[in-house]
Amino acid sequence: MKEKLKPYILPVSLCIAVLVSLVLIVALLVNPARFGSRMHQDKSATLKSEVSSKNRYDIYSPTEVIRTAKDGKQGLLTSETTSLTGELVKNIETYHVESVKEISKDNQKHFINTLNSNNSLMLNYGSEIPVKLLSKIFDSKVGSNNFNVNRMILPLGDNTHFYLLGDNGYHVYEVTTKKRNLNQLQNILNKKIQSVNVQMRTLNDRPFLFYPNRVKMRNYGYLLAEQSQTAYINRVLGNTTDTSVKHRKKSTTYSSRDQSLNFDDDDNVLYQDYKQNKRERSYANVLNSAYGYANKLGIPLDNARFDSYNPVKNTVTYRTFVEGYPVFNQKRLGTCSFTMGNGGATRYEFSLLSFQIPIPTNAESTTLPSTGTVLNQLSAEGIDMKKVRSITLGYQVVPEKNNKQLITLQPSWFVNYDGSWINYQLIGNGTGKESF
Amino acid sequence: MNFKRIQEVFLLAFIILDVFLVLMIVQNRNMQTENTNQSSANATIVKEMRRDEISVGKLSNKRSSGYYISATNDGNLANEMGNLRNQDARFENGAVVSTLRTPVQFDDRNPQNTIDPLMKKKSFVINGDDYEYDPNQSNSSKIVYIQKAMTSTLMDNNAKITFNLDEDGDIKSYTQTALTNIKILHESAETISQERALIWLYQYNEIPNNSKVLWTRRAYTKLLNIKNNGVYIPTWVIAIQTRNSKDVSIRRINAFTGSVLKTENVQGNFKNKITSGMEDN
Repeated sequence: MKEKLKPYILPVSLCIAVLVSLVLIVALLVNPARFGSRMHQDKSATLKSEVSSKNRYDIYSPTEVIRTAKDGKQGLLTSETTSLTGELVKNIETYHVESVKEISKDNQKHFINTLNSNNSLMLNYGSEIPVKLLSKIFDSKVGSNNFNVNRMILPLGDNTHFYLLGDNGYHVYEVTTKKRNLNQLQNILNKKIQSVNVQMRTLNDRPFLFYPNRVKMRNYGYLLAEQSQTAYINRVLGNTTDTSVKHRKKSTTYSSRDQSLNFDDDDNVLYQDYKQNKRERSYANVLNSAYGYANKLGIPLDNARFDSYNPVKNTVTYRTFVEGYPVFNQKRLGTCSFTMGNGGATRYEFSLLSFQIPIPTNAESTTLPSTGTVLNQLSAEGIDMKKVRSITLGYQVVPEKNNKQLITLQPSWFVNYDGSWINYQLIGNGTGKESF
Repeated sequence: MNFKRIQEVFLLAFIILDVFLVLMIVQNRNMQTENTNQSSANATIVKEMRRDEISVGKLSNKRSSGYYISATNDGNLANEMGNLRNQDARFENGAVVSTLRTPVQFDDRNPQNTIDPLMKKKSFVINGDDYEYDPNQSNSSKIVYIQKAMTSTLMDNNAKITFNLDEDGDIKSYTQTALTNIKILHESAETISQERALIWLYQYNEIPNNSKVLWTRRAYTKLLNIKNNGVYIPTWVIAIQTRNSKDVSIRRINAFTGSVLKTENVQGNFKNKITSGMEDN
């Protein structure tokens, strides 16, 4: 028997050896470990971005927190030491949503009553946003809900419900949750927090924050950081070979076949991408794309929040907020906007300058008149009050004459007049308007 | 060569090829384990540092938070020297310089056990409670106490007490500086961990091969000077010593951004007011 098998041992062994080597080669080719070293490099590369990169829920987070006491008195809460909205959003992320239902619409009275619910917290957003972007809790569980809201009411005495409100159409939605930890919410409110008397009122049928008394606000100074043009040129046009450069009197444009980057003397940047990108249909997708583009381009959005959306132009605007108040400027510094045009062409406008380091100022604080005084003053100046859409406290950027890198943030009232924000001190003479 | 011989040669060649392939797979699997099993890329880089013979000790990956704060040099120290007893104190270049009439003995191993109770006495130093012992800056010729601020400490020449020791190792004199008017400039923000700070320092090529990280400390240090004010931020202060030299170099990492820190001087006086200087595009 052995003698009979002997001539086959060598060829069979050879076949087995060949087969084994084939199997091993295939195993080696499909093994992800083969890309191990590349994975390792990627991980190292992403390390740096971890500090500066912002979560999309951060940029789409509330800008104002108002507490309504048991007796109905309302106060705008601010803190110089903690990020109040950040802490509250963290708390909201612990909720377990069970259901969401619309309880009223086009009912102004019910809407205002819900806004002014006693013993509650109101979180206001700069503009209406899709419920999916409010918080991680809405991302998956109530993902099918496709409505926009701009206020959230957290009752401090009811641990199984809270409310979402949309000013446009006076929508009120009731969210049922598993038991929420109200103590945790109270702990946040027990921190070093300042409260300014306010009242929710309506102006031309739009709810707004009315300050019945004079308001004292802290002044801020900032050292600006300037990003280099080269960084953007490399990021945007780095791999293209057909780049052309055009120098004009006050600006320089770098362009390739389907992209262009324009830098002007005031450090404003205009980036245009003419590629036929998929045009986003839903509002949520437009907001997600706007944020994605900003991140991809490397625009610093450290102190920025979503500010507004213009449905006619399809433009999303992010604005810098300091201590919960918006920053206004006649130049691009402090805002960046993203426009998705027809056919998918996109346009990003921002500044190379960004707010970097807060610094002490000469004047500690500024006292501003009450909302009533400001509205009377505007009316006396002959302003068409029907065109006043809103009025808010904010900070005006005042450049330092001797040093381009320094600015002061001067507290002031800002009026949304016919769609543009204007400093109330300058509205009469037609200046001080954001003209971009 | 007959056919059988050819088969034998091929069999041997394929067996060698198989062994080689098996070795490659094992090696790759190890690499994969390294990449996936370790909790983060940080651990891999710390390993790389050890391969470069950089000894770092155990690192914490706990993140914390801090503020941008401003402070000014305390010129008022001169007015408070009246409470000091049994010492000859004078005010020189913004600091209290004092010689003790009787040298103070202390526990060599735990200096703070002896000195902390003394720091509470107004007759010993001014506002001694505002300072804490810093073993990293202390050595056989001096004991250093640094000023506390915002639940952390300030590492700055203008915010410390240096006790000078005599030949017997007793405190014979001291120099005290202080920062005052400490204000928060911005709401709290998250800071990077000790591990991340060291990794970035390593990635910026600021830690030479064959060296030792002696100590790291998270403290407020000066970021910039503006109008007699200093702006201070949470910083990872890292002391490095190369093995063939005794020199210790100090590096600072901005605990907000992770960048290497150097103090800047900024000129400016904020005289502008809102009523003028508005510009339109």
